[in-house]
Amino acid sequence: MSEQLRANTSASAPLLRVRGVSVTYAAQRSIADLLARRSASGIVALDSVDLDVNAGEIVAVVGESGSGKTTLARVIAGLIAADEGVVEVEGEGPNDWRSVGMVFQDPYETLDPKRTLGEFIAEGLEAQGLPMDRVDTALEAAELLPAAAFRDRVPEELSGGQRQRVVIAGALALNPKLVIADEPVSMLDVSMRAQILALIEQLRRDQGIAWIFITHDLSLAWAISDRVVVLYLGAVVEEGTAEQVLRNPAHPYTRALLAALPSTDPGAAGTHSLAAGEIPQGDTPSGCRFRNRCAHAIEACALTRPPLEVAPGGGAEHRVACIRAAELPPLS
Amino acid sequence: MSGSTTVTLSTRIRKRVSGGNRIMRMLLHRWDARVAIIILSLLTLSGVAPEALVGPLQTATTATADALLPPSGTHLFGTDDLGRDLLNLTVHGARISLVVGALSAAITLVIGGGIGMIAGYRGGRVDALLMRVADTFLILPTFVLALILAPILRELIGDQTEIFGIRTTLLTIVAVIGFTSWSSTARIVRSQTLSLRERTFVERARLVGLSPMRIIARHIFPNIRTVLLANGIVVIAGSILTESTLSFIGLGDPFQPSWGTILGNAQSAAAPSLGAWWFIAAPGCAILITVVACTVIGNAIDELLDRDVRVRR
Ligand SMILES: Nc1ncnc2c1ncn2[C@@H]1O[C@H](COP(=O)(O)OP(=O)(O)OP(=O)(O)O)[C@@H](O)[C@H]1O
Ligand code: SF4
Ligand SMILES: [Mg+2]
Repeated sequence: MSEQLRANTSASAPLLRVRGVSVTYAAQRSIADLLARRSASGIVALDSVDLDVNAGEIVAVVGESGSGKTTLARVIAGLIAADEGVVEVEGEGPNDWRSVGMVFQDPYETLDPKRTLGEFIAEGLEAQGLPMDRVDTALEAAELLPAAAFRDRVPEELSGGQRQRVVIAGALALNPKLVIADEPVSMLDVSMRAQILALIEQLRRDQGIAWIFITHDLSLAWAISDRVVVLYLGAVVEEGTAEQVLRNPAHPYTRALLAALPSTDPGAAGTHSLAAGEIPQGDTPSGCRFRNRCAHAIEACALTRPPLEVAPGGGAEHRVACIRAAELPPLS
Repeated sequence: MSGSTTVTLSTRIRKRVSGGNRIMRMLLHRWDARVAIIILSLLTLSGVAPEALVGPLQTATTATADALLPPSGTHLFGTDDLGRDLLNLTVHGARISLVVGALSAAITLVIGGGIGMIAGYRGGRVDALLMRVADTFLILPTFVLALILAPILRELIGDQTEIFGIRTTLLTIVAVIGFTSWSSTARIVRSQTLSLRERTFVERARLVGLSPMRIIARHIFPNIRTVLLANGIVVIAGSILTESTLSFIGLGDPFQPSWGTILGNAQSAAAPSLGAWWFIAAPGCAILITVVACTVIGNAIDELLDRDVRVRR
């Protein structure tokens, strides 16, 4: 019975539960706003986002620059508060958990140039009352060996890849159940990337750590993730297993992203090119937020926001927000 | 565990020292900074051991020479209206100027640095309030404040109190300079803190639960230390100028003549109309050289910082 029960609870209660999270950044009031006696309009960075992450799972969050990936990471980490919605880790609100770690995009910026690596890792331990011997354990877990040789060095003496390992060690030391990695390899050269990806994979396997892997690079998402969530202008437009989303994309935006990959067939790239317009700067379009760039847009697309629904012909966890998903031509 | 802590500490000290050495090395690469450092070293020597250089401070009763002698072999800088050797007075004045400068700068840096970091890091209402207070202090007229504070402080701490051999009158000047100049330091420190606050390493410290005060102590302060140093040196120059001006108009201590006091004496002895240019030249050049030397070093550190930032970006 207990086996059954455990399976049930883990299925119904994910490690991370994000529901209806919206974030609007206050914008500077422009002169036009002042003259029109408007309050500043603000930038909607996230619009009612849902996201589940199960224990030990690697979920890739993909999207172009400005789609809200970093904002989502900061909300989940508790660095900024959501204007609406809930974020729960193991059923607890942001003030109570200590089990979310974060790896930032720029390892050169994450380490204080004035402090040693040991001090960097010890900082979190001290703040959370954990024993200091975890410094070495964490350095070893991040494969910075021997730990004693790294403890007293300053960031200046390390390569970008080593720095990112130190940042990962800093997160590991605090015993996280979930680590959010915001474009963790985009600043590293190619040889380092594979190593960091392998480390993430290994930590998931050995310590059961769940990862949210944020990237704009679909090939990285394919290489590392179990599931993929596609963000566009602050909303989820498609989600599913890596296989479903990347092999069988149902949303025109996901298709366009895939077609823009250099490795795809150039003939296919033409039909789904992203060249049709940039991310809109001002207000999000009414109806489908992708419609001003979508090659398949029809009038009905302007009327209502398409909800996330089970993708045609896919499994139950493959969901897409497009009213024409069923009519789209199949990919070759 | 305690072993590893000690190692970390000693490394930190080593790194910190080498950071200071680095600034010194970079300064010595510039000829203007080199000259300024030599001048300030000589002045510091005068301030620390004036007796060794020119004998005890001459007073009206111990003066031996004739009044208003122009510079000569025996009196290199000439003599004043009481027959005191101006070289003697100027060298002894260095101590007053330097101590007043250093103490005022210390007050300025502690208050300005502390308030600037707190305002910049906390932001919001705390920031708005503290900056309003800083603005108020910024417009306080130094002279009026000195005139008001001098008798009050003298009343409060008595005439005979001494700190570092500096008597109440000069302490008043130190306090007044400190209280009127911290606000510009606070503004500089605040803007540095504002940009540091957005850096990822500060965000990460917040993420793992470090308290604001610890973040300030561990991440903000170490990263603005050099800015404070540069600002402190410039503040010393400003303090020396203010002290000279206050002493010149008679708010100084007649028993501890500073350069400003000597200038004041020259004024009341009508030195300009008597053609006794040396009476003005000795203290005047001392002030000028010191202030220029401090400013050169302060600016040089500032420029090195700028270059540092540019290289790192
Ligand atoms: N602190 C802020 N203040 C105001 N607007 C912000 C702020 N941070 C982000 N934004 C805006 O919110 C939107 C989402 O930004 P976010 O950084 O989350 O995107 P992203 O997907 O991480 O992009 P990138 O790939 O460039 O990192 C963007 O339009 C951005 O300009
Ligand atoms: S709803 Fe319409 S505009 Fe939006 S993605 Fe689907 S087809 Fe394109
Ligand atoms: Mg980002």
